[in-house]
Amino acid sequence: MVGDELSQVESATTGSNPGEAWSRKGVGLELKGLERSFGATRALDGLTLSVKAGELVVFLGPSGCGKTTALRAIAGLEPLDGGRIEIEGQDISGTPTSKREMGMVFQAYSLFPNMTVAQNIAYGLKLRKFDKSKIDGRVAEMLKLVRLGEQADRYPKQLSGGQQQRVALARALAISPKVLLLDEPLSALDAKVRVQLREEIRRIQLEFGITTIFVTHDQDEALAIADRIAVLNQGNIEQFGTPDEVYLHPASPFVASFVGHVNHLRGRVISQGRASVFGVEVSSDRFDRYSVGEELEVLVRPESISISRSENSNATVSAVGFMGSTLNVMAATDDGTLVRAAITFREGEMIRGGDRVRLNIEGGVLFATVAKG
Amino acid sequence: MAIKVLRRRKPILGAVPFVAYVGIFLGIPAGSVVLNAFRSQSGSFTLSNIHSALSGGYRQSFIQSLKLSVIATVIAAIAGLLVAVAVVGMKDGALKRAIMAASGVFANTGGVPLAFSFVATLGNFGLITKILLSGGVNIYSGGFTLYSVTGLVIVYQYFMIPLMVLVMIPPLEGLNSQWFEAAQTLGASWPTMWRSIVAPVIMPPFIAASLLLFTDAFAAYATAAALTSGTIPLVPIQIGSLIQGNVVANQGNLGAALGLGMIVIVGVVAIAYVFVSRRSNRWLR
Amino acid sequence: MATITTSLQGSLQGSSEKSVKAVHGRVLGVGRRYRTVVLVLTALFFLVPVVASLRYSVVGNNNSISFSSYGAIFSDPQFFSSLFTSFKIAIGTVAITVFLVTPTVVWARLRRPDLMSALESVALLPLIVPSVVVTLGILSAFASLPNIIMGSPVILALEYVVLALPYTFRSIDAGAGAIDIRTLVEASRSLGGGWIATLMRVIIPNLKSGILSAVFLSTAFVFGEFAVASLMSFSTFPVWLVQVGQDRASESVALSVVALLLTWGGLVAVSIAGLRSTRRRSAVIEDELFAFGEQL
Ligand SMILES: Nc1ncnc2c1ncn2[C@@H]1O[C@H](COP(=O)(O)OP(=O)(O)OP(=O)(O)O)[C@@H](O)[C@H]1O
Ligand SMILES: [Mg+2]
Repeated sequence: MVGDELSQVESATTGSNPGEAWSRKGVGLELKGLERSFGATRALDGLTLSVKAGELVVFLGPSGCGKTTALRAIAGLEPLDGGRIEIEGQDISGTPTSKREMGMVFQAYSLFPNMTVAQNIAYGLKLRKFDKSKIDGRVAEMLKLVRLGEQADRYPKQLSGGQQQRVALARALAISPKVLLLDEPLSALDAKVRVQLREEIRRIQLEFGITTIFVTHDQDEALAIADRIAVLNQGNIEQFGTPDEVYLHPASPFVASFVGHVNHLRGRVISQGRASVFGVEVSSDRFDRYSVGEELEVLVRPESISISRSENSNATVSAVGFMGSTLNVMAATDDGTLVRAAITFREGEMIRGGDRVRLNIEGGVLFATVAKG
Repeated sequence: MAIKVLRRRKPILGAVPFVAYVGIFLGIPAGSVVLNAFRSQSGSFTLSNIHSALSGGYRQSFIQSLKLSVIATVIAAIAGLLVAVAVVGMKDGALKRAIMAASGVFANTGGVPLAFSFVATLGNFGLITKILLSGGVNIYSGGFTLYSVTGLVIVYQYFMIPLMVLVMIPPLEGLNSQWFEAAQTLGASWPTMWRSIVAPVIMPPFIAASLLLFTDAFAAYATAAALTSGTIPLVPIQIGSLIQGNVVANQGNLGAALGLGMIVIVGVVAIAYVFVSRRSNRWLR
Repeated sequence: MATITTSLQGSLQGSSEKSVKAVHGRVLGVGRRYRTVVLVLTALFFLVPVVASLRYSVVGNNNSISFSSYGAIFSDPQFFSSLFTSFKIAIGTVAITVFLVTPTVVWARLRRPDLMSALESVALLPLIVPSVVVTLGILSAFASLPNIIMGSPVILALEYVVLALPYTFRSIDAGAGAIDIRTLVEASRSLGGGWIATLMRVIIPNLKSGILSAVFLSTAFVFGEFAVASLMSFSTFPVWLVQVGQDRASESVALSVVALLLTWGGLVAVSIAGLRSTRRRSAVIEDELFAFGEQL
């Protein structure tokens, strides 16, 4: 039904920017001390966070850390044991889900099976009692936005997983929600579609300027699309910052290991601020508070390891992954540690398995803790 | 040329014995009933069989049969749905599995043994009849009898309800909580959600299952015959009497006309069934 | 009614497989109390007749306990002769069913998978023609057949094959569907197995559970079928059962108890076996359900 009128509607709606006419200005969102327990499990343990208007915040964390619970609490789908949720300074904790005007996109299979694509998108608009022409126009606009004009009259089961998620996104956005909530919307898709769709989501989000929370446990996804990342652990926020902050300056060993790769190496303090790690001397202020002779666990990013072909080699390359501009190198040091290094690849300097090389730690140490065991 | 080689004739030989068998042992009898319905004793074409099948006592028996099947179906469909909803709400576990298994078993109970076990329950000397009697209630003097349409409706529930439960549980379990959560975030209230999602999703399988139950009840002969020994003039019972020659002779092809009537009614329901399930298949498949 | 069971089951399974989270009572708006009330009432409705029958078979109309009705059953020569008649018919029905349906299903799955749904529809056709009507047709269409067929239970065996098809066809086909015959045959052929070896070693063993449940289903059908047998005046077991019921009520109830328990036991056994041997458990169970629900 909507499909037939698509072309007329398209010419009728002026905007080159489909978000313009409809989007509200993004709103700020405050989570204050959210608490939620399931029996003995504390799914949310005083979670506090401030999201700026128009910002895309990613909730990143391991399975079971409370990401979904937090998101559902914001939508009003999960009751809270404590804490407040505020939008533009207004407490909405008591507002029922149907009045919160949150757009939500679930992991999968959330489209109404008995409605076509167009009817799915129109659902929220019909509930708002808009007149038919307005609804049709809006639906057409949304279909165009997610590039599904052709599929308007199909049923969800006739769409691919990626298409279904685009419809779910369009349906959520159609009502111009105050906040867009996405719970691992891409995790049921295969890798290629996942990357493509996340870029599309980011493009649309920026276009609309809509405040968005995006849940994922995929760190690449988080780094790629976030304005800021909230790393969650056991119902609380471990770190909240821009992707580069979180990556370069993790607030804790947990964040360091969760975001990006990290080498867990053994080291021993040899003097003030200096330690020996697989036979290489490293200096870092991270060692300052340990006394000489102490055994440490040292966290180092693969990019901080350098590889050279010098006389005094200390490691044997075991595997090399060619990633185009970088090489991922796995090498076993002579004292038996397996080290991962990521180096810039220059032509003619290919490293191969079995090569003898010298590893150094040059880019600095993320963390040093007392070694366990 | 290459295309010609690839496009071999599709083999059908393997299906011939099966289709032929069904043709001979179902097609020929059914065809002969249909033909006989329009044939006079002497073999010439006539509509008088059809005419008598649709008038007087025989018309009444069609009405009785339809009444019985419709009432039994409506009760079983609603009761079955209520039970299915209760079962779906349960946690997966031994009890739920036991209920499913029991439904399977009871849905398959029918015919003569079922009739007799209800005689033992609600018959003149049945357990419930006696218990009620000792409590001062005489259901038989109150107008009830097991050997009536009402009685048959009750007895038929024994296999119809479980069948309904079994058929309705999968679609009820197919209701995805995310649909409701999504609807809520879009602003839907509870009644709206029922109207716009639950009802449309549940209705087609519910109607389809009801049609299935209807044909079941409409065509049933054994239970009714064993229970009422032919005293209620249902269409199958009437046909049975005609076959056994319990009625005035030279009505030879009247039975065929009644049979044709049954085929037509069941056929119409079957077509409705196919229509309904195809409709929902569009989005369920 | 052609696609009835098929499409219904197909769609139902499809939807439940794909849904991530099943809806709980909260969404349907029912609570614990509702469940308890509904389930207790239902349980009563289904258990009381069983209890009543058991009681009636030992107590009868007068209130003295005796197992004489069970004794009377076994001393009646008709009991054994009717049972024997039904048994012979069952053997015929089972044999024809297995040798008619199995090759058809295997052939279709291998050579013409596209024909499968048409064949299934053919197998469901008997549902459209009530058995009373079929009887009428048999009597007029086959009247001229030799006495060895029409005058003996042979005709019953031949007809029961068709009338039980809606159930037997699906259970054999479900067995075949669960194992992907095509791949198995290709694997066997590629390993050098000849057609005969492939049939004996690969196809038959894998179809065993489906065939077994078809055997049970058609046996149960034969021992339960009343309409055709009684209208054609053959003294099969259910026909005798009704005759007994006309003057010796508690004996017929005793018999019914035995018959019910045997059928239920068999059904439970078949579904347990089905559960074990195939992964598509729901399909198998549902087959049997649909199967018997129709049998009345
Ligand atoms: N309805 C519930 N009943 C009981 N426990 C629950 C419920 N929902 C969540 N939990 C528990 O709360 C904790 C947080 O769950 P949550 O679903 O928020 O995790 P998550 O971060 O989304 O994990 P994932 O990445 O696996 O989706 C988990 O330990 C989980 O087991
Ligand atoms: Mg989650």
